[in-house]
Amino acid sequence: MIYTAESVEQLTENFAQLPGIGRKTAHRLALFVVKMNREDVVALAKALVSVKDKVRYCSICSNITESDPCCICTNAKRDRSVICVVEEPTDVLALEKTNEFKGLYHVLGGALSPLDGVGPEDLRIKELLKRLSGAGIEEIILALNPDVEGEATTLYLSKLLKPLGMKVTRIARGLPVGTDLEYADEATLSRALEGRIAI
Amino acid sequence: MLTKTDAIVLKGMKYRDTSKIVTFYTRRFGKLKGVAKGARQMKSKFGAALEPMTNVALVLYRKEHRDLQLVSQCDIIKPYKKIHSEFDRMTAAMSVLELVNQLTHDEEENAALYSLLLGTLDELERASRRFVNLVYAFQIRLAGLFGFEPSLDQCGSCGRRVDEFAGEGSAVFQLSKGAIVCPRCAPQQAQHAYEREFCRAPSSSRGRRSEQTKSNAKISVQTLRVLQRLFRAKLDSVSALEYSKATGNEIDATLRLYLRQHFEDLKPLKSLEIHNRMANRDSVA
Repeated sequence: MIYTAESVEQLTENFAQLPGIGRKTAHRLALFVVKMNREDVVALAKALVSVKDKVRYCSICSNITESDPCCICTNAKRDRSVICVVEEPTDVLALEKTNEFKGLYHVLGGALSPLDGVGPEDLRIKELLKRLSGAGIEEIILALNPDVEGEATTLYLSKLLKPLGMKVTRIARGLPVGTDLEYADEATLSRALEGRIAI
Repeated sequence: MLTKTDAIVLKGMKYRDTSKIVTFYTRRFGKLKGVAKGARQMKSKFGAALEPMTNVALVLYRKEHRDLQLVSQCDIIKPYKKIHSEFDRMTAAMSVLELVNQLTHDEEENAALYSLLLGTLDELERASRRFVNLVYAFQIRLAGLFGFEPSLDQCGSCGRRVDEFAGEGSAVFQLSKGAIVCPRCAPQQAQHAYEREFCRAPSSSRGRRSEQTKSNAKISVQTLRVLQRLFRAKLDSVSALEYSKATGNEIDATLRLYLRQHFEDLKPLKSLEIHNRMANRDSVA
């Protein structure tokens, strides 16, 4: 039985499709929309449609963008000899926030996860290899998540890329800044020891 | 109730913003799923303990008849460092985990399977080559644990041992029975099957003959000998087994058919496919 208006129920259903939103939260959000000004609601609706209409994947790096190629791929100031390989567009955002990396990106669209049925053919690996066949790439940085799926993808890519003769590196793994050594587990600590650097 | 058990992490999936739902194969309760709250946070107390292919000491709030338990604590017993850092070892270990995950149901205790899984991971960590042997050994032993132990030592019809018909050509492996039939008995067996199907059985069941034929696989004596050793030899000696590429292909195909015969829902093992694809690529290079 519907206890509220049908349109509120419909909006609740729509919100509940979003990741991490249960029915109760969806209902709360729908009621919040009821209380919003009409202009704000129209702006929200326009923003949703605009995202769907304008945003696409960059044909070079597969990052999300409104203009194809994306602003990173077309930026003449970026270092075109280095490509950083990441899993998702959110990883590009995280790396850009550091202001440390000035090269180009390649978004794979996930990581190898045979246990979930995700194989190499489900990732944008062919596109990466095609990109590398062009001249001028000197280094590939593998910046994948430090979990089993990320590790499997890193090892798989390194097997594919090393024979191509370019420098293949990976980002460091180990202890996060601000944690206590005594609470770190064996696996994390041993990786931190392996990746130690001279100072 | 707060409960402790040893476990092997089978797989994990993201849950909400910072948590994980982890599938374990435990010594005491078989396969179970648990929520690890905050496991994806940078300062999580779980660290790397919830990564697949890790042997852990698990503490959880367990309630019967609940699909999802709450993980309280998880400490690493064996991190399997080499498995996590070498692609071939990793994909071999993943295919073992994939098989366990596919063939087991929640909370069905099987201590023998837990020991086999643990022993196989230990050996995958220790072995220096031919990791795929351990995967095949695991597959055939797992079939045995589920009640489908194949009889590979003698002909299921006349009782002759494998050595006695070694020079007579290929034998037949009856997938449904898990028995081998020597080259001399194979034609008679086929004739008996034909008579059963076409002379005595009602016409409605005759259409099944093609399935009957598919449930038999030709198998060379060399492959039979390797399968015997994969099944009987101690796990620590399995990775030393050497055989030709053709025999390897035959072992792979036979085991795939045998498992599919007895476990209808079994999907192809993606990890093993990737493992074999990369191994072939390396051997060509």
